[in-house]
Amino acid sequence: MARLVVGGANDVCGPPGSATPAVHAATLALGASLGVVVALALVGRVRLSARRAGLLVAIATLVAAPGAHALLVDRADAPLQASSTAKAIASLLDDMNDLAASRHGCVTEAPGDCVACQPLLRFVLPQRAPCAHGDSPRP
Amino acid sequence: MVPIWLAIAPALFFAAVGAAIDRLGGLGLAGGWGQWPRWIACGVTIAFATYLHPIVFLLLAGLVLLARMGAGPSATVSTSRRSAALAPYVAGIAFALAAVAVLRPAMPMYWDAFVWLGKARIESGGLGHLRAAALDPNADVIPHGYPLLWPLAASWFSMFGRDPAALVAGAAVATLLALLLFLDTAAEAFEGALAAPAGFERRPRWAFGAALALLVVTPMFWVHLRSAYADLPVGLLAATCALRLGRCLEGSGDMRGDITVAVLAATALAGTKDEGIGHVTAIVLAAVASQPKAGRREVLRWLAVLGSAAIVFVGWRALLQLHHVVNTDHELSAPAFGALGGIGRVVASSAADTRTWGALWPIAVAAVAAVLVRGSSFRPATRFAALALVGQAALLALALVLGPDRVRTFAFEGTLVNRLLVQLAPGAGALLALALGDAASRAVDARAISRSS
Repeated sequence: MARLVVGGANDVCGPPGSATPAVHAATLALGASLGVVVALALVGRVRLSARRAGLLVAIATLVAAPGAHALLVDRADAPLQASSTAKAIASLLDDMNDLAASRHGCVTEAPGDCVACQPLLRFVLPQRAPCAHGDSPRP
Repeated sequence: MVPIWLAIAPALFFAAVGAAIDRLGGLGLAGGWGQWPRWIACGVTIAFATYLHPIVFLLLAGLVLLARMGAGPSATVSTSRRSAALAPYVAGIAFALAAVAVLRPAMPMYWDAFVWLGKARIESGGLGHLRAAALDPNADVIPHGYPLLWPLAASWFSMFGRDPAALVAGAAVATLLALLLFLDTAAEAFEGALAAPAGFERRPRWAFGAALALLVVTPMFWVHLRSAYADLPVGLLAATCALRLGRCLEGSGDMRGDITVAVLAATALAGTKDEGIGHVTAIVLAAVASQPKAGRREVLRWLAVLGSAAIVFVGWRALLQLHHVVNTDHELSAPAFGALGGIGRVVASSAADTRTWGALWPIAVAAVAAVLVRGSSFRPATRFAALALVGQAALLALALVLGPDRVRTFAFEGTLVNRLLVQLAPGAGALLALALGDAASRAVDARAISRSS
């Protein structure tokens, strides 16, 4: 869940270097080939038709298949896992709400402690009051 | 499931405001199913301008009048405007994507979603609360000084909801509104403002469906459709602005509706993210480059579009300065030309990550190259769309070079470049639709000639 919160919208499966080399090379080569075919079609060297456009979309879908698999199966926001992830986040938000209420809003982030907690704390306390006693309990 | 029904009442309210302004100002927004997203966008944009400062609203109203002067004779209405030929495609794509956006747990799950919706929660405390907090240098509203439209839209469409589900619904409806504006515009741009020019037949509909399918099968598109991030809406609005100006390049009749939507999109862009003014500037510069012999009417159009974004951008910056609030994330710094190589490598490796982008970027780069190299084989709006996309990419790259170190750190850590590419993806999809349509309509023409001979 922490990985999803921190980087889930920055990419689909982590940084580019984490891809399986063989799969990445194959899909990239296929994608580049599609690019060449499209360029040839646009300059009139290859004739375009509805059937060929359908084939283009089908191959593009194949290139995107590893990412689609991650979205539909692997990630914490995939359909079968999204519900439990949402419950875990809701529970964490409740805990933070309780903590913030008990401390009258005097809660701050601990740099490097729980990176995924930082945005959740921003949601719970988007506008923080200054602490009365200078202490800053951590979430 | 995301409870988007919470947004029905606010959407109707904004639509009523937009329709009234449309009727009073003769803005040309009515017509077809697309009138609903156009009216809602008009209502939200006007409400936002007034919310920022009444002067911003007055300046914007003045620009809309300027836009009307650049709209052309009102006696002739662009014929393809109300075309329903692509309606089945648009409806299919819209319903499928709306299902992706809505059929998920109503809970933010990614970093910036919590931050944006946290800001929306401030506004949900009462109308004007977010503006007051954002302009209070002692309030700890992070990130400081960012434009307000996105969190405001999430709050307003959620009926000032405070719980995660309501705010997620508000952001989802705002994203879907940008998506509908884009689909409406893309369909009208594909049909063209006038009958096909010499050498072209009408673009075949399957080219529209194929190009949008190429965009829709991109995994990153799905991620952002289900997030509360502002990058996809920014991309959709930028593409909308560019496509509307592209239709003006081709049309000679009454282009009021196109210019009004371009102005609304430009205003919303500048109000949503600081990159917005960069997108609008690039689009207008591309229009200027596409029409070097422009007359007074064209200059008025460009002034209206660029001016509307500038009023919101400069107006908000002036308010920040007046209240001693500094937007540290987006302050200009000394150019980091030494980082250019590193930035280029990050952009290339991100765009080539097929798990995130599928084959979108190789295909889009090929389309841009083909259109720019063989310009005369494509219609003016297609050439303009390619030029605008290149300009937008260049301005985003420039922002990475001229921005503070923090921005480059984000880029090198892998948290920024893909989100900037999301801002370009809808424009790439629209360019593919126009370019494939042009190539296919040429092919149809050639086949017809070969048969007749």
